Amino acid sequence: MRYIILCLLILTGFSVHAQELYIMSDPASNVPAKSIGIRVTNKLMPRPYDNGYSYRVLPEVMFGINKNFMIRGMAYASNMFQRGMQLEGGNIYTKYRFLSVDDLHSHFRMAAFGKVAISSNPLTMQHTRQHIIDGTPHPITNIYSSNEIELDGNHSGFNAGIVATQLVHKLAVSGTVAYTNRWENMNVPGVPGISRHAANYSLSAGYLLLPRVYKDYKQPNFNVYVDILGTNALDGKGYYLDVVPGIQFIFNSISRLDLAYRVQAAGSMERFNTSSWLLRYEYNFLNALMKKEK
Amino acid sequence: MQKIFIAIITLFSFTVAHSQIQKVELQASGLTCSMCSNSINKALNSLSFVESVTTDLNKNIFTVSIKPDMKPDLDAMKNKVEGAGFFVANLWAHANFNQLAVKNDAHVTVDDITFHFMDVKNQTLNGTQKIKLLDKNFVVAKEYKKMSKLTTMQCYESGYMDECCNVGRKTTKQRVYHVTIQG
Repeated sequence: MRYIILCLLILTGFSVHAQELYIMSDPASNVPAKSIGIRVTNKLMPRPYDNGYSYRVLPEVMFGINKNFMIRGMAYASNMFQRGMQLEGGNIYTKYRFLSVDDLHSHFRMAAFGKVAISSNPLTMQHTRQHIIDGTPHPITNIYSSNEIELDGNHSGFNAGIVATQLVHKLAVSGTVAYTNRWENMNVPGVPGISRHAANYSLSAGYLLLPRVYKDYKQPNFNVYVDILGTNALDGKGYYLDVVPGIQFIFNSISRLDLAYRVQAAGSMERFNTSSWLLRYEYNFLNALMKKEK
Repeated sequence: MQKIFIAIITLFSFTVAHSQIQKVELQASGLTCSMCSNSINKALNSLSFVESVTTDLNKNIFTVSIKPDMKPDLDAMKNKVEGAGFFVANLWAHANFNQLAVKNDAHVTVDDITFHFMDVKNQTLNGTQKIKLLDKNFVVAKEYKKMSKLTTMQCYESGYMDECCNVGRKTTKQRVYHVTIQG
């Protein structure tokens, strides 16, 4: 029997979880009540000044409080703005599912979400290289700035939005709209002219390639995803439209491994990087917060 | 003397009607992946009256074996599924009946459990029967709407006995399970 799952990735540019198993964003569904999940995300981002990559690590812990409400905390560290890894800050994300209409082969769900983030990173990236003129080295410093408000490492601020997920005969479509507002980063001077707020939107789709027919919980699952993520700065600082293909393995119906590549398809916004790689591992402790009945 | 003894034994076995639910099949809605099913599987397994759970991952049907001499709490099972983030689309209980006379659209109490049989012919139940729960949140919305037309009794809306039937009973609300017989 063809067993098609379209799990949709909702890209809001932020972290992700769910039964719809999104890589780059969150669905309207929630994590199971009384569960704890842990995740480690790794991001590789091309540096604007050479062929190298910056690396960021983002550990997270998530709690399913009840069937409608979840909360997630994240910390981040990277070598994006200096040599060596440095702890940059953290964020808290919450989601409340306020609508769920289920039928046997379909459901429509809606949720509201919010995130508050802090970052101690500088707002610009600096790189000094030696330019040789007539045998004499002259240091040239390039300054790179970005109008992309990024609440998973780069900027302090908040984000709030609504997500809707429709599952019909195993085809799941998810859409998000959100508003993002940037605050000044911690302990760093502000830089004039950098975007202060933006509107974000996304649309996602996923497909279960294997197994074609389920036999047991131990079977690994293999899913493929594609996300479309858009952001429009609300202060004239440009826009971008990214496409994110991804693959995902589920092990023992309890843990998962995601690999995704994000690339700008169109845009006018100044950004530190217009592409990135993501590798994430997640493990769930179901019933971890439950009092034992037996 | 022997004839009287046999008569007494026979009388007993016909007057003590009881039921026992040994197995419950629960179909969940709103999910399509094995990790989702696993969260329901683990939640159901945590209930004290559950012996074991086997899952049909393709149909999302969880077959729950009940521990011997324990009564399953069907509402607790539904709450576990909802806690995992999903809903019950169908629930069937495999119950043993011993000469239970049932009438359509009427209450019958057996072993402290009150059933309200709907969409059935008047009959006497004997042996193992597969009964389907019709209460709100145990069926999909469309089916609940359809079944609502088969009774005018208020208990189907609330799941509890209404005042009309509560004459002379204890003041605590009595749960009524609305069921039909499934083949």
